[in-house]
Amino acid sequence: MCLLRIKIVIIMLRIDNLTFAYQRKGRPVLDGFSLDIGAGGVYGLLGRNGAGKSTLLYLISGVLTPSSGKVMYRGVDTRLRLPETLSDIFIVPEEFTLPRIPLRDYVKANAPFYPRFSDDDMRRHLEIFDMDPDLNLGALSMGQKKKAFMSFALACNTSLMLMDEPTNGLDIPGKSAFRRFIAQNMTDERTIIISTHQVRDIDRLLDHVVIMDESSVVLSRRIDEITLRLCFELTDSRGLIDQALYAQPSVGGMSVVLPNTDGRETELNLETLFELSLSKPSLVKEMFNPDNSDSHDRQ
Amino acid sequence: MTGSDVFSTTRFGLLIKKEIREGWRSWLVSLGALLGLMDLLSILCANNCYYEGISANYYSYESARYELLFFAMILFIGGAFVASGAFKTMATPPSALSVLMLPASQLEKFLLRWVVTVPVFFIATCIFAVMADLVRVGYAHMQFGMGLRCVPWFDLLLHPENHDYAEGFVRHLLLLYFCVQSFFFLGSVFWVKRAMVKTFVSLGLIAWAYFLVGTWMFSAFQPEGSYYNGFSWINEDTAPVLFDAFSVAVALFNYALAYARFKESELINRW
Repeated sequence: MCLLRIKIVIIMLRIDNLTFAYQRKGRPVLDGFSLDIGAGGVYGLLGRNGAGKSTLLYLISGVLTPSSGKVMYRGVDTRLRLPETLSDIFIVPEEFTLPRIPLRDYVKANAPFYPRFSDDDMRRHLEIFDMDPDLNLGALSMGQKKKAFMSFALACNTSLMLMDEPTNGLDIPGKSAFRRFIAQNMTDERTIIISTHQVRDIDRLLDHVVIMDESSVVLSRRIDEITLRLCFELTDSRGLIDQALYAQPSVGGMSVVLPNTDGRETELNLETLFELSLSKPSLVKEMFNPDNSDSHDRQ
Repeated sequence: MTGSDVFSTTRFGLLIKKEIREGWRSWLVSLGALLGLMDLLSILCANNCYYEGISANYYSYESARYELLFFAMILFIGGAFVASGAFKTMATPPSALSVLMLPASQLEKFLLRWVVTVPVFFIATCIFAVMADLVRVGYAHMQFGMGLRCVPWFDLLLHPENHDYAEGFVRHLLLLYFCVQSFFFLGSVFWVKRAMVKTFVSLGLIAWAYFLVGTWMFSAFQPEGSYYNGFSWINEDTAPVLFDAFSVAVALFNYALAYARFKESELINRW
């Protein structure tokens, strides 16, 4: 008897053939870029400097107009910037401004725009970051403002949250608190897309990895799918190093990526996966070809 | 797209509350400075009345002409300044992002800026004009024992025929103010930085171009020694109506154009 496994993936966000250039006649940052994002999960968006990660986040949120292509959030074009859509998307940019008023006043002024905002969640988030709810936003350092802003962002309980370099400016306890913060607030209905270079800050949080380069998606897969096909080892063995798809020196040996031929489970090394994807994009694309996979990705 | 996607009174009310909660301090300082300036000018006018020997127990144009002139200048210059800063929150990407991502429609966000910049500023200036005029009268009485009277503001606006020739222009002046201010409001959408200077220069260049083209066309197509009589229907009765209608039409057109531009705003100005 053959058991048919059916997996239903709800596509929350569809990026369709997006092209964008900052200068009207300049080189496009994104050219024919397509990607599907499902409901639920933490997506890590990785790429080189200038690959277009931040630009992609801004295009998703509708604050930039693509030259061609569309971003559809739950079937609605985000460029329309409908209030209903905006109340379900929150973006935490790398740089942001906050008014110089008490946090309580900021929450009172902005929370009503988000129907699912929760005061209890806000209090809990501030506790995670060890912050006083009676603080004045004008008296905070950049890192503290970031913690306050992220606390508010998650308390809005939007279905889609976009974060651009969220751990920049956070101290070590702050980064640890951020990881707890994300882990404790994940639900099946919420999707978080984190764009970052600081892969070590978020590698244990991710459910799904998206690596982009040269205006296209090199890899877009769940962590379990990646570790099903690839092994990540730290080794001194010459034999393994020679067989490796990618190898780089690391503390304690060589960090290698090998094909997972015997179904072993290893822990994902995001850095080496990233380097492999950028150095051998064709190989990675071929390995994770959608025709051979049950994934929803369209690349 | 439903009607509430375009405009919702509840959401607009929330926007106004947010604007007040986040910006009341800077508004208080700005309005305080405006009132202080107008009070100072009124006191100077009262001093002028004393030194010119103007004193009567009834209102006269001579007793308030400089005050009216200064207040008109403040209205025009202040209105242009405030309108030029209507969209200053779009000047940098971080602040533009918070404006664009706020869950309200573009029309609501635009209307909020318009309400604050046009009617609120105008009403505040009018109220401060009345208050500053009271300061003029009170100061003149206390300092010099003069019996000056307040300017009859409502009568000036609603019954200009009861006043001197110059004061009859009050209504037309106000409509001209809204027309001129609308250009600076429009300029603030296109140029988020140094909007006032750029709008002023643009208006000057456009006016100069119209003048040059107009005079060239007249001299090119009008036989020498003759004059064009096609505008004979413009007279003392029709000219003010035409002027008012033109001012209103231009103001409305500028507001509509400003909204159309704001609707297409992006995080960065790629124009």
